[in-house]
Amino acid sequence: MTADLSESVRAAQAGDEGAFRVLYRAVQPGLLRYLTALVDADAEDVASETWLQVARDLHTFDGRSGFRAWVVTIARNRALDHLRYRRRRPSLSVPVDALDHLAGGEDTAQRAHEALGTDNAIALIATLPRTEAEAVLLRAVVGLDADSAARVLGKRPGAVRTAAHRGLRRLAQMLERREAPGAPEPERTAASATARTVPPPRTPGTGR
Amino acid sequence: MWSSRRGRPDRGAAEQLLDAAAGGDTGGGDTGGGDTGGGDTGGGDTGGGDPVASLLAAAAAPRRPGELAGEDAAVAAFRAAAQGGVRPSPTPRRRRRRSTVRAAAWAAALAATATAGAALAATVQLTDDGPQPRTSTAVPTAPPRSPDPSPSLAAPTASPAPTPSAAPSSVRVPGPATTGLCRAYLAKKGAERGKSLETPAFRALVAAAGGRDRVDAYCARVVAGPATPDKPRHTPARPPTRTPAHGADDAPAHGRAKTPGPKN
Repeated sequence: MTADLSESVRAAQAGDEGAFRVLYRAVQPGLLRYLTALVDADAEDVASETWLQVARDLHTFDGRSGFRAWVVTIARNRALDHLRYRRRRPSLSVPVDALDHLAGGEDTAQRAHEALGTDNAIALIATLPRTEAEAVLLRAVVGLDADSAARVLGKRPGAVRTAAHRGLRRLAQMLERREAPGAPEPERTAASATARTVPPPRTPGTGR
Repeated sequence: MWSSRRGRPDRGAAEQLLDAAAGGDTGGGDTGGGDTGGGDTGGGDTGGGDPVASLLAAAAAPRRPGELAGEDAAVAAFRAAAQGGVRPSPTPRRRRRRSTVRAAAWAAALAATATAGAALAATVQLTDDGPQPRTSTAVPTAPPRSPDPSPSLAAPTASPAPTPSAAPSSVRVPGPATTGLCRAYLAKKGAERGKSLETPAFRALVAAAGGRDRVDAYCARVVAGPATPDKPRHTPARPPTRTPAHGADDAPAHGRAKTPGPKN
């Protein structure tokens, strides 16, 4: 997912259609998942708009920022516009078959991440505070390094690292008690769950 | 693993998790045995030991065919641009119609924004941690709009008590994602819960519960009920005597022996 795309970028800028396909296939899956966490059902529309702009403006791309980061920046701006005028995230239909299928229980022999499923994983990450979700997704799914992710998000790299780590920790807390379902669980009530997952108090100066 | 430690996160381990997920687009940890520190998962099982690693591996799984559905449209746009034609891109008609609707909605929203900018910012996205109440130091961990939760914002589903009358036959065995969604849901304060169920992130949960008014009861059962038979191989309770080694030696197996390579 993080292969060097600069060759393909140069070829595409020279008009090579096949190279453009290579770029699309390399970037689109992670981009779409990232956008799904932001705008859910509209992710495909936002992604299409993004690629139209990429195709149109590719000749202006200078290569310094990295192609993935460039595309994701375009996509993120469009997604945020989207959220801005929508006031609230859309509630369109979503395939929940994945969950039902997953619940079938035939996955015991499979590897855990295959049983979980990509959609469910993205949905779970999307429950994080947005900055944390974006940091995790840009790093782990889109494949940006910390510096590139920071540029996309308009933050310092240290802040993005912190956000990503905080997000991972929160996810770990969500998943923690799955580790030992047979073991006695000292904290079961919603109240204690609240106590465990409340975001840490924000100290001024970080996160920006 | 790092996630089982409370307190400060291990930055190195977290970085490695992120990089491993980004780099492991196919086989994952099949790069050989090497120096597996703990070896509690029996080797090349990608993310088998750490649920967060599994989650990231699932999130970064190889592309699925449906994700490339827009390729031809994108390539057509590329072709048009390469030929210097500035004619409108051949997107499906549905998209264009929706764009028109969207433009109208955008204009309307713009007008609304002029008067209700703050409220808009607060309601754009529930999980947005963007608008921090910088000037108010009253409640650091409270949601941005704490002072007056108007009744219209309050949750329509009130009772957090599990209703035992719910038919057990309608209860599906929850998967890990359901459980995680439930935890995220239960972690929210009362007034936030109802609103959160309107967001896409929780829609699968609503569906799994069979309705918004049943989420409370459903999640209470899911979180409390240890009798979820799925994923038994994932479950060995760690012996309390075993203290995981700190530092890079404790990194997940698939994060090692992989050169990050140039990121682009």
